[in-house]
Amino acid sequence: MAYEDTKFEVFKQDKEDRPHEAVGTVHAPDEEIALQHARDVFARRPDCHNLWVIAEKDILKRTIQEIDQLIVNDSDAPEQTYLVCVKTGKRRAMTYVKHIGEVTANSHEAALKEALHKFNHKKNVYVWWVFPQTAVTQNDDEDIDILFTPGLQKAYRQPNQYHTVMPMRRIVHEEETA
Amino acid sequence: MTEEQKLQEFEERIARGEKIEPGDWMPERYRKQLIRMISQHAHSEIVGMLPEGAWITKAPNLRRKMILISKVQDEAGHGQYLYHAAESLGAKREDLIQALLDGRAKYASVFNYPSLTWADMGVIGWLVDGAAIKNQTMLARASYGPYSRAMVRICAEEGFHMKQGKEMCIRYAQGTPKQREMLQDAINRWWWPSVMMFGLHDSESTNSAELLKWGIKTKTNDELRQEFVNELVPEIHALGLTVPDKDIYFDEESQNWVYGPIDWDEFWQVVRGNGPCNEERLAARRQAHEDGAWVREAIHAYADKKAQGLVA
Repeated sequence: MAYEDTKFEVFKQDKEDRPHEAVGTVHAPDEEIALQHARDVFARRPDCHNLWVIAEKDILKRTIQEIDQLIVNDSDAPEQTYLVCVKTGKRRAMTYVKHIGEVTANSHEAALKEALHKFNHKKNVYVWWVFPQTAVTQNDDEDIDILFTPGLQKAYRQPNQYHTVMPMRRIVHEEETA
Repeated sequence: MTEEQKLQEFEERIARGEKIEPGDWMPERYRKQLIRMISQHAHSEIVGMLPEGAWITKAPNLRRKMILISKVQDEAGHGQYLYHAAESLGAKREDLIQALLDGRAKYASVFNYPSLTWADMGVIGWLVDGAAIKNQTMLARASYGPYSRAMVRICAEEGFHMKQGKEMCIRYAQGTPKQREMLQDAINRWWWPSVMMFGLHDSESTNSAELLKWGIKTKTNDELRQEFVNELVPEIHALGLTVPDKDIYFDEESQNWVYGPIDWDEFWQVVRGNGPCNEERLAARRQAHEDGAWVREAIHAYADKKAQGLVA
């Protein structure tokens, strides 16, 4: 049987006072399973306080070259909060765009236009993403212990718990002096 | 822009050290090569659970049991990281897994060898994961963003896999004659399959040139294999053990351990499905896939109902 999955962008927040950062994508039938996959794929080990999943179709993504072609149509849609994310610099990194703030608008395009105005002090931006806050699914604070804490408690999963360097050096030394 | 200009810009980006991201333009061949590599890699992680999973219930103490459970669970996790990375290129996880179950997809041949004693748990960690880390550390610098980031996460976890195995080998080497004998036997069985993990010699590898040009790989099979042999042989000798290669010698001029001929007939036999455990491994995967069918069916049925407003 063939299933059609939806593509979700995953944002990870390492600590409570850190920004959410895009870490990659998962494919899943719905946002609940997407959140579960996101936990298994992006937060089995590293620090994590909060995860967001957002269906890719709900995100307007524009590179800096595409900004000129931005057309904002009049809309009767109600205003709502949009989240704004940017990628600055072209260096290789573990993350893609980073969440920098919010704007209020009645469409994706209007939100991006507003973001360009509000965050115009941002230097070296070359990718912009905007999406409505309502498109975000995130873990509950009460699930933090279940989802993310066990990863930090298993010391035996840390390479530094194993003693191989010194014993090997000692054995080689004994051999050489024998 | 013409296709040619796009290709030129793409190759310039790679030369500058930029990462290629899922939405970016890329040649079809680059996409295909990546899907092939990433999915084979994912399958290897998933099948790689089996030789070690078999020993979880036979671990000699609780510490070793927790380590082994955690390690096998990590391999499952790594498979997931990689399937999701392959999906970012437009492949479907379901199709990739079906190709594995049908015997159409390849995976690391080393997992078609049996794990016969407890010492294999140490030697798989030290040799097999040690060889895998060489390859994965290189792939962590790959030009495709999601693959390279998956590799960075995987390498951080593989460090634990390799070191727990190496620690076990060092202890057994200093243990009773029986333990030393068991360890030497395991090294004898896993040495050549580990050396073969790096793939064909550079002169025979048809994909290498393209993978190097596009920054998917940054070192050749033989370069990585030589690094591995140079690191492992002196340490195995230091433990008073040997590798099963009567021709191996240290070449002062190149400062390399020069190994004897690799049995490529055996390599191809195993790749083609005639290794000691190919059938057993695929049968176990098929069984697991069938056993999980109801879960896939249930989560999709739930998602459909929710989309229709039939559940809260």
